[in-house]
Amino acid sequence: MTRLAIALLLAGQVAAPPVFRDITAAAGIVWRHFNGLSPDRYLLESTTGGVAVLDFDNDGLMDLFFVNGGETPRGKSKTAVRHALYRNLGGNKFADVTPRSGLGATKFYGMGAASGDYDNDGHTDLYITGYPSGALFHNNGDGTFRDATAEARTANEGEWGASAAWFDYNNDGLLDLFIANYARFSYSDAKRCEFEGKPVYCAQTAYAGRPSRLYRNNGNGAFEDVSAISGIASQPGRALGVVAVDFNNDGRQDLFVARDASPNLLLRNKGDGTFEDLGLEAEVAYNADGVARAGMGVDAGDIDGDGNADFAVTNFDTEYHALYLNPGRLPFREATVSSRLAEFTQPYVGWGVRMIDYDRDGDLDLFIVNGHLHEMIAQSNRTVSYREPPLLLANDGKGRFTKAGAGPAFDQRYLGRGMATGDFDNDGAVDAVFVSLNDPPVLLRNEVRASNWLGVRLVGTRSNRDATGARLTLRSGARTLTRWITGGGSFLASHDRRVVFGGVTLPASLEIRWPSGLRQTVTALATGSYHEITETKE
Amino acid sequence: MKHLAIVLFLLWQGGEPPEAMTLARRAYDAARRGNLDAAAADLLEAARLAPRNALYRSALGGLYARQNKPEEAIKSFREAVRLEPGNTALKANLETLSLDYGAALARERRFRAGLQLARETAALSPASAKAHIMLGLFETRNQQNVRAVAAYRRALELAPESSDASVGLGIAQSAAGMLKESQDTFEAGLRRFPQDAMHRQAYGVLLVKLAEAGGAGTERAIEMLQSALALDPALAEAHYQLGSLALAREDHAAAASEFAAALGNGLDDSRIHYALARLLRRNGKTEEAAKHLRLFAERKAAEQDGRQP
Repeated sequence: MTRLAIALLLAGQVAAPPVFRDITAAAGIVWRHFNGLSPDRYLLESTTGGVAVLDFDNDGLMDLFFVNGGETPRGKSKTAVRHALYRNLGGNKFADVTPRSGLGATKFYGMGAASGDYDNDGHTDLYITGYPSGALFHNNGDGTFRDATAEARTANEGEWGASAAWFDYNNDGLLDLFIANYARFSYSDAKRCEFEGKPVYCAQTAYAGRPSRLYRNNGNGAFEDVSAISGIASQPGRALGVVAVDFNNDGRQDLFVARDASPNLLLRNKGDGTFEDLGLEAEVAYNADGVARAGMGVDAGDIDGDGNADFAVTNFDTEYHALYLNPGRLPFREATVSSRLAEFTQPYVGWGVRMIDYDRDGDLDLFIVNGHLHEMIAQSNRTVSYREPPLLLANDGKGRFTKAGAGPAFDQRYLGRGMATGDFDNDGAVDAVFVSLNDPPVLLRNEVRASNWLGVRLVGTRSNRDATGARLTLRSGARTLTRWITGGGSFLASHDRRVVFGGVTLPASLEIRWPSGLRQTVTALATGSYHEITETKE
Repeated sequence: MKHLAIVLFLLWQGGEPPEAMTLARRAYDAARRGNLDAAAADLLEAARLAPRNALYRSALGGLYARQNKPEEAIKSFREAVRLEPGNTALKANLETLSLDYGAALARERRFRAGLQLARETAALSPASAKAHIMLGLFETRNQQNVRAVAAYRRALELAPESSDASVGLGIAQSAAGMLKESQDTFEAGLRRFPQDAMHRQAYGVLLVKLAEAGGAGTERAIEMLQSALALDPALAEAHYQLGSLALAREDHAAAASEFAAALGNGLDDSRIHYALARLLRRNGKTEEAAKHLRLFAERKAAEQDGRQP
């Protein structure tokens, strides 16, 4: 940057280039979310809006799937309510291919999406959560999907499913499915609340929490409900977000479940088909006052560079979005205040959250979308608003954040809900997309230029083909960067499974610990591009 | 009883319908015999026969109050006040009853019912600081924070010497997101009520919150809480807050001392047991930690069972 440009910038005469540019309209995305808002104020309406980033046609370009809500008894749409699949054409253009895909309609009110290749056929399949059931769509490999729910026995019947995660809990090379179930709900048993004589959503505590569900993949197209024998069913609560990651580095994928006014769960995978909740011992279940916060979204990654998976959880306004640093033992250390997350998130109701290295400096930053539930909240709290801006928080490498000037989209206010990340233009800069209630979605292109990155796409052979659960350790110069291919993450969302390392200097070596237990080291790595690495046989 | 006898005398003087008076006399006798149900039934009928008689209503209100039926008592006194708006004794009775009942509703966590009562009480007693303090409390408990600010502000105008109104205003402003105004209120309160320990404790709690959200360091919060304890060492909340701050900086000895003081001064909610469990686990006292976790779960369940209508 020239001295003149710097001087003008400082003088406020030249706007800093945006980190993220809103390219939704230019990309050809015209779908709009619909939540069935009605005078009945069903809580369901306030928690919908999922999105998945997936390459459904294996052309190397990340596509988009948006989950719509639906109509409610008195919340009707003038047009047909449908989900939408957008194919990435390249050049930051997308085409709506929903009608041909067979993904446009479901028989239930839609919530979120989770993509994963459950049958290891090389084509990414899709699970859609909702109320009062969900659906599994098998990718036929020709641009179409087939509803395989009945044969798979994964309907999650009778439940209000929110986020879902594909992960291989028994390391048998097949992706299993966890569904975060929220609460007991019925249109006929709706709660009624008012503020200033106008209908508002009742507090979540008016709805009894439900147990989440775990489906084990039998490998023959069918799944078995193992919620009871795994111990998952014995933990009822209002679950909204889930991320699968090996937090204790024992080679088995564990689960962090974010729950709304129910204690968060840290489910340690015991390796015998069962899980035990260590939320209390880890001190992630409650805040320091013993209050279960309104956990919505959750993501995992190594924020402080110590090689252990840390967790970020989005919460309600005045509760602060939480950051739990994992020192490799229990309890975790809550760094919500020391990281400045409390300072930046105090007025917001958070939903989608992702740890991404947006500026490719080697540190994981936080991308968070926010949006309140109550239209009249400003009448109760002058610093809180109904529509809220997303946040981009830059990590200094030690787990302390500053608010990044990220572009005009971060000055706009939305009713943000589901949020997913992925590199749509394969430039190594991780992009983002989120759903805003009853609005068009927002597709944000990351415009940070850098060459010191390398991307990795893993293909499992003995492990599940998606390599979900793999731990990647990159040694580059004096730095060691640890990443995981996680299941789930954020809120109602599914992501580009490729891993991008920033701040890379060559030579670099990458050690992969596959879910199968195999360790593989790769050294012939170049920066500025993606590498496809297939799991070796031995 | 004396009140009812006066009523009957006045009725006799005033030429009430004879049936009404007969019933009122019978009510008086029944009340003397301790048969309050029969007395109330007769007075209710007398009030129906003589609908413009405020004294029947106030007597009925008195009976209901003796029967521990505060809602019916308040309703009867309100009717009496409506019939005789200039009767200050009636108004005073009604206000006292309403404030007592409001306190009971707050203890039972019946915040919605409390708000309704508080709004009606403040409307009937617009010059009562206590009524506006009650209104502020219930507005806050119903997340009507901006309205709570107005109620407490009015209370402080009516009774500038009321530290309760000042503390309530500061807390309501904080809940309403008016942080600068809240600090100003507490700073003014410090000057006006320098020896008020509760005021310092409440300000200390606000300063802790401000420090969390990046507005300041914890030093001022600690100083404020300690100054509150210097005035009143039995303030359990101040001890709890200081203990929590100590635990956050892993000063286990200070945390243990403050939590013990909080517990010793009557704090027995879910927070203190959760904090103690965390502290004891850090010190390797797993059995004691487990005991406090059990107490935490018990207190939590009881708190969540608290009535909300």
